[in-house]
Amino acid sequence: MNFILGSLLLTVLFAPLLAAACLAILRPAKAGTARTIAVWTSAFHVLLTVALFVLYSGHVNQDNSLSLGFQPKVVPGDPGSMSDSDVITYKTNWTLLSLSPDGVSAPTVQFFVGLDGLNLLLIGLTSLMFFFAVLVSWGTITERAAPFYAWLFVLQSCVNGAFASFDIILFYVFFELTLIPSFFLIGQWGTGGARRDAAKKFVLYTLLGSLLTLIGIIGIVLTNPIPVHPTTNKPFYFEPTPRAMTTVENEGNTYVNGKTGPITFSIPILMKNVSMWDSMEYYSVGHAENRLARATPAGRATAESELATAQQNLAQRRSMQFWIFLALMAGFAVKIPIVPFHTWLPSAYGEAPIAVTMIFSAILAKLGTFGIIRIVIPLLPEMCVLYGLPLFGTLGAIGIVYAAFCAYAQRDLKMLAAYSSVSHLGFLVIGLFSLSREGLSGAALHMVNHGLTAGALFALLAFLSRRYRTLDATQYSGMWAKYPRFSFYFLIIALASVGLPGLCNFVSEMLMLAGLFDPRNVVIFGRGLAIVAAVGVFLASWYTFTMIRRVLFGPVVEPPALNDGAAITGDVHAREVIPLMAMSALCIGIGLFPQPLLDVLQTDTRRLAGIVDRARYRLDPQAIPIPEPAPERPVRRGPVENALREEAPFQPGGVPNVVIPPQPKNPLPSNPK
Amino acid sequence: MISVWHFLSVAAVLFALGLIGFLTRRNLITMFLSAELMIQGVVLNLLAFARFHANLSGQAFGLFVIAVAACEAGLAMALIIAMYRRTKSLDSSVWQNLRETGVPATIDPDALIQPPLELADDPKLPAAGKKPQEVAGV
Amino acid sequence: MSSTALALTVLATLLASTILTPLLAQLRLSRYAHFPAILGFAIASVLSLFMLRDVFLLGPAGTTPGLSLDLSGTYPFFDLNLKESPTVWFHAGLLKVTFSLAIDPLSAIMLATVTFVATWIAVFSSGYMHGEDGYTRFFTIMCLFVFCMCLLVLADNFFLLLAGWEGVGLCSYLLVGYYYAKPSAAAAARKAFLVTRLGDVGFVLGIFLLWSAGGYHTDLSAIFAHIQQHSASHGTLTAACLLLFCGAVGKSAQLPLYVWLPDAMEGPTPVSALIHAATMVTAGVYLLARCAPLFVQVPYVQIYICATGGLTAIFAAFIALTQTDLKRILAYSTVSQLGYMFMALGTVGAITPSIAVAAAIFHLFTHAFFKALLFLGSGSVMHAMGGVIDIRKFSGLRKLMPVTHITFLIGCAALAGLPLLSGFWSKDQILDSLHHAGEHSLHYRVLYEGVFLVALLTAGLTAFYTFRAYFLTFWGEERIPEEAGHHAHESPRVMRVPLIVLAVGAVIVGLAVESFTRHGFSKFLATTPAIQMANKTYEREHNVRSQSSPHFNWKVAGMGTTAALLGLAAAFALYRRGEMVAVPAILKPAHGLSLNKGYVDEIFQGIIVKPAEIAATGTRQFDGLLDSLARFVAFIPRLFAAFLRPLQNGLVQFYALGMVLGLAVFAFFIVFKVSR
Repeated sequence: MNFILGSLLLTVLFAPLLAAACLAILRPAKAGTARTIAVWTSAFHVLLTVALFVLYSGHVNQDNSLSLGFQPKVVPGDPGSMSDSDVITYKTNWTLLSLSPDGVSAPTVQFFVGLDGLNLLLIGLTSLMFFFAVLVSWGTITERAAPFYAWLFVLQSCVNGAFASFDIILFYVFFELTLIPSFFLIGQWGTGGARRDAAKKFVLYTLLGSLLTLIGIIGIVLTNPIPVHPTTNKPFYFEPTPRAMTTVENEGNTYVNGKTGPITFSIPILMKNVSMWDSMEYYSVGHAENRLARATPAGRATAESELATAQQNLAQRRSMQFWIFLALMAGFAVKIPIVPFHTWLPSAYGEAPIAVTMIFSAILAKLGTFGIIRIVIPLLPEMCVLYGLPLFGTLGAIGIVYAAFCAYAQRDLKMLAAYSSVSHLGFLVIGLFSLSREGLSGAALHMVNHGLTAGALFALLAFLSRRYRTLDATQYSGMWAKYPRFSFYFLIIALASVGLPGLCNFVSEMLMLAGLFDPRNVVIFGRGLAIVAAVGVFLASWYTFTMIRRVLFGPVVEPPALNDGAAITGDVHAREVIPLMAMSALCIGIGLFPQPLLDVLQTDTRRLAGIVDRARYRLDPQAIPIPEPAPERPVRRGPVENALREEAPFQPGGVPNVVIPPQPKNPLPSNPK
Repeated sequence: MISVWHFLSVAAVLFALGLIGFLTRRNLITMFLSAELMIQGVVLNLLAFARFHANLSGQAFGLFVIAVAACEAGLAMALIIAMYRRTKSLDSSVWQNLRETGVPATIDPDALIQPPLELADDPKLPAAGKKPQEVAGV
Repeated sequence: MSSTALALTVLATLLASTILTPLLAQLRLSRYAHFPAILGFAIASVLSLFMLRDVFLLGPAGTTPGLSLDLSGTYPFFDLNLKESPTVWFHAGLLKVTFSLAIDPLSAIMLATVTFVATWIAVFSSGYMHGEDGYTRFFTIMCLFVFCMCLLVLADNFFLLLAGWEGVGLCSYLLVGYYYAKPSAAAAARKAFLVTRLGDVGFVLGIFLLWSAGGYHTDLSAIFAHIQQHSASHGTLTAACLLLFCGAVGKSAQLPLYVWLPDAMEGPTPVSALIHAATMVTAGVYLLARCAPLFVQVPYVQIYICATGGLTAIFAAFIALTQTDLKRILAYSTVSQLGYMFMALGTVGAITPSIAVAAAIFHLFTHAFFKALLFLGSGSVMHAMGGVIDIRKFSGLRKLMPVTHITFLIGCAALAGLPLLSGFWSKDQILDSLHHAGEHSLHYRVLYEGVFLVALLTAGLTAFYTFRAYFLTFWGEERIPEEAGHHAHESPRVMRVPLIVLAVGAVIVGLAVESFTRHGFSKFLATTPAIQMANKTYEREHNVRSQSSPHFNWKVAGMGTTAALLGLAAAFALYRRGEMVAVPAILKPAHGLSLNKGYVDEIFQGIIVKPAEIAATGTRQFDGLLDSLARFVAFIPRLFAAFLRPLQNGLVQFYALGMVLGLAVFAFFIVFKVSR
């Protein structure tokens, strides 16, 4: 079963590449032929993805362990699934490149792809959006159609690869590879006069950011090697919490700190290492304090210097992590983009063909937010707690209002949609950094919802631009009378994007707001930003409904008719109706029945929230206000139980394999070091 | 007794002469000859060391270089003639189109005078030690 | 069927109508688009009467049963079964939103009112909207509206309530903008949607504040119970209540967010009757009534609500005095009457909550009848006058349209609060509550007394502007505008019957449900669990026993009636000839202020809309600046390059010299550094 799923995953990831190769080799001269191939292959890809969803559904809710690392359910090359027992071991044997001849302890870049709750939905969204993009580009790409679709499919494979990667280097490679197809798609098939410039600007701007991310990734990898046992050199994951130390003492053993072992690029292992090293540095201070308290006058000097060293180490680690955090976020902030790093966006969105713009806002922007949820939060939880909301949450909030105002002042509908996308993504960033289960679930769901609504909005603009070749809002009026069906879809999508209940954005926005109301966030950055976000929702309806009034309502005014034969007339065509109807139906469907999607996400968001809760505890053991749990739930105290408080009913029994950190100032039985 | 040092000195002198020639003369053919001179200096080095180490790899390598230099000479002369036919000049500074856009062309204040047209069908080297102007009889 | 099942059937019926109506259009049966709507509303109305009976006999229903859909299983991949706890809409972390319904006297009364009025308005619309473009669209949105309104009324979950709340807002938007080609309708629709949504920002934040203060529940009853037991911090509760009130202000058109309601008259008249008079705009009143257990704990928010209500009531009445658009007069009157309801709600905590809430809800109930009647009557007039609604252009219609005339007169009398009509009883209860609060409030007696006087004054003004409109329309010599042509006749029967039904309602409901039954309405409403809870809190905090029912106060009733009669007399004196009268010079400034609607729209334009637009333009300019900044950063490497570019001069020998020099450095390094 796992083997089949793994193979299916690989097919989903690389089938587009195959389609691209076919298009590049065959090079059909007629645009129609290329389009036909593209439509059928991408439709087939959607079917494959649906099959993946159906097969994966058996894995939802089945994982209740509280491992500190992600546990991708479907991993091609999983040694476990190759054996007869067919168990999942959450790792792979497929090594791409080994950095030292010593095969055992060498850091290896692995082809480690997998499926878990976080990326499943995004891979589904990608598959769907590329199918729609092919349909949307129908009348607009007439020259060199074969290479256009080939590049589009290459882009799809790269994006899918980035979503599926569980190796940090592999992720980065795919993340960067998306630039190449994007460059050609904007530069060659762009609609505006400045497309070359826009493509160059896009690539250079993003590259600058993501090179900093590379530095951050290197920093993460180097500062979090696998901890190994000092004598046996075996991986050694043991957190020196006071309680654990007591157990060690009682069993007559002595404890020694682990030492640094080989480095690793696997994100799940890195996550464990991060927890390990973070808490090792943290508890060292506590133990040193205890030793100082019990030190004899003679040993006092030594104990003091030990304490100083431990404190210095901790401070050093945190300051190092701060810079790594900034470096990592640089690339993601540009990719999303967070205001003020968005200036590549107007030109790139404006110049790109509308199908590509649709992909950009629906999918590529998600690469940045996905990077945050896949890499930044799990690997730098302490920094996210300390600086996430104050720094990037504030930027996100500024972005919501700023981009909303920019959107209002735009006369070009495409620009308006672009800025509205930036505004919504600001909300998404705030939701991510709220770092609570509600907020993370909401943000992860909002990635899908925003993809749907933003993509659909561009698909709707494609409808107009295919008829009139212009998107200047001042030239349009009264489209409702002229195109009632189009207006119907337009209204649904607009309402979804302003977060009307019953449509998809409402659910995720409410969850993100709930995340911001988590009392463990500093009030001004939690509730304060929640106010800005709520005002942002109002601003979204302000510019959206002003635009709707201008374009849909009023007496009919249309831009001058085109005389070229390619222009289409009449209301929504059969081909155009597929994406519009499907996306509207999904918006309504997700709005009414979001729970299956939230169930898919819950294992991973719970895990992330647990990691963050431990980090919160380490940063401030006393001052965590624990939310009063709902009375029908069993009440358990302590930060980790707090993370688990919802999951008590799902707990299959047994002790979770995370160590519960009690207060570090408890006296220790003796000094094991 | 002639030691390896003697050979090396001669080779160094050859190389230096070639280098100076290459840097100072603007006539393409002369520049090419200077380059050949440098190559020969290097080959002499190889031979000298081959003798010194008493094995034949240096000799073999020297033969290779000579062969390559011969091919190169054929190619280079063909190129030079082709270039001459385009510009009617052997001056290397005529060919500076590959400079950065926006950088002004380098103009020799003491410019060469174009030889008369009847001379211009094929490139001719000026007599040694004479300026092209004198050759042209101006 | 249990009351819960009845409520669910009501919702299902309305949803079915919503889906069925557009399907008719697909079958080219647009002419019959009103059938599903009228039928659905009628069934819903009957069912909700049954539900009302069940609630009356058996008391409030317990938890709502739900369906669970299990998708995680293996073949056949899903499993549907009925379960005890309500269906989950969405649930992550501590936020769990369920489809739980509150089946209690409050919601049952609201449901019955909404569906009853909606049924007759739908009947009226089938005549009024006959032959319009978008007949199907009209009834589809009407069905959706009634569904959302019922959802709003029945919801026991804040997010479900919010869904209904936003849903009715959406339907209002679509129906105000029904004539989409008309720029004024488009502007009014946008304004209605945006202004109410501005209030909703506060509402949503208030919900989340209550969620975090109320033990992470989203069910209203659970939040109330939690706050009752754990007594949340006073600051949080104050903020939450103010934010909820903010939502109510937007939806129920109170100062300063009432500006959308008069403009919303751009929609078809039945829409104004149903949405902008009888049902949707009362959602804010309903919300505050349901949240009485919270508001009773924050008396200073209460006084604020009371004052807002009073100011709105008198200000809107003042504007209505001089308007010449019949529908606008009624719209301002709606704003004013909503102000009355908020005044009553503002006394929760100062007097027994159940009495204050009963006064507000009772007025809501009677108001639904007579205001719907008045709007339909004005629709009937508009229908006959060929779309003209300016009362200066016609007069003396009482012969021409006898049924409309009589029913309109009844509506006016009820609105003015003439004795024994429904408006009289409900207005009297509100005045009585205010009077009582003035006597018994712990800290704010003077304020409540002031609001009482304002309410009395408003009662006089109400009678004046109502009868002004009535006299100008129906009295004097008969004048008919040109636009009416030969259409000027009494409306068809399908429009007359709803008028008669509602007129009968406007006459008798007050007597029937409250007076003859010895305050049966108030007593029944007081059995609502939420209101009981509020009563308990009131008893605990004031250390008194709560009153079981209001008592009829002859003094207050006399004062109210006198005010109304004075207003009526003034209107009769001035307008009985059916013509406008000249304004005396001393009243010119006041008249101008009233005629120009207090310049509120202009003020809003000046202090909010324009600055926002300027800010948007400014931001856009700044964005260009930001882009130049990015371009400048990209320019810095070029600046360095400017120094190095001359080196690339294209001269072969110059490059060779570079190579030689590099080689020389390299050789120097090897010879003098490495070999040592």
